Amino acid sequence: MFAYALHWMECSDMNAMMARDNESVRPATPVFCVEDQRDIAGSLQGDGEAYARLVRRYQGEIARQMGRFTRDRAVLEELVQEVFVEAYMSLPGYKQKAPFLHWLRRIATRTGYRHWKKTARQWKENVELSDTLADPKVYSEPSEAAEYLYGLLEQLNPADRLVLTLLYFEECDTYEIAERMGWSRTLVKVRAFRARNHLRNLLEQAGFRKEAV
Amino acid sequence: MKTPLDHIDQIAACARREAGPEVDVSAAVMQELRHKMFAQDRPLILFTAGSMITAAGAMAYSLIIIHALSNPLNVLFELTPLLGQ
Repeated sequence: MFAYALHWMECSDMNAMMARDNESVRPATPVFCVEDQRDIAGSLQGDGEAYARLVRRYQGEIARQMGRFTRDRAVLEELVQEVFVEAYMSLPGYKQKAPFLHWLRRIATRTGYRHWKKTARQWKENVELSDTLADPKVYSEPSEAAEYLYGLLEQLNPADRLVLTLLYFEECDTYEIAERMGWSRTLVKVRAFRARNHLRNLLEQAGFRKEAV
Repeated sequence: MKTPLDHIDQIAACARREAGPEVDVSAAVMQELRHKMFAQDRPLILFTAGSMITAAGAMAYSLIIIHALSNPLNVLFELTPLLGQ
């Protein structure tokens, strides 16, 4: 009976996520920035200054996104740099079907995921949560909350961690995650469902008490 | 009563407000791109340089040969006085 109730709760959790996805409205026509188009055309003709302008325009946004993939300042700068170098190399393939920032975000997500997979050797399954992670407080400082969440998601495997990072930090829906990673929406939904379950189990095993919050 | 995931949702909402770090990678990106472009063009540069050196060598060799060759008409002019006799 309890198992059935738990299963029903899990399904309703997933249904809520799917309903939220269906509600999300996809922009029919993406908004393009004229300056971007001019600088992209210039970059394609070999104008280095035009590409430097694009980098300066979007490096803040990309740094913010890469901050979800690492808390190490030096690694973050390397990752941001890698994103822009890769973007330049792939620029001839940019069809301008989506705004430049969306396209950059896709490259950034894949770069971050690649970085995690490279460092995944350090990751071990079913590791016990440290006392700090097992005892989530009510955070009022965003950087403390981000630090806690980063540490918690670090306990998951790279694929689960990516899905939850995009869901929690970037507030992406499954459509957006699927688009960024080139995965199917069904795969994203299944991964999100499993990852949340895994996270719940980790917290419960670590002695997370409902009354404590 | 909140479940662990409800609490994590709450923490995530707070974490999203975190400001991004300030970085300036434009100079480093441009430097790396210049380096990459040079590395990408290197085989072509080497091939062009090799072709130029070969062409210059061939030209020098042919000039030496041309100078070494005697005028074939010289033989005729050497014979002409004999024919006149």
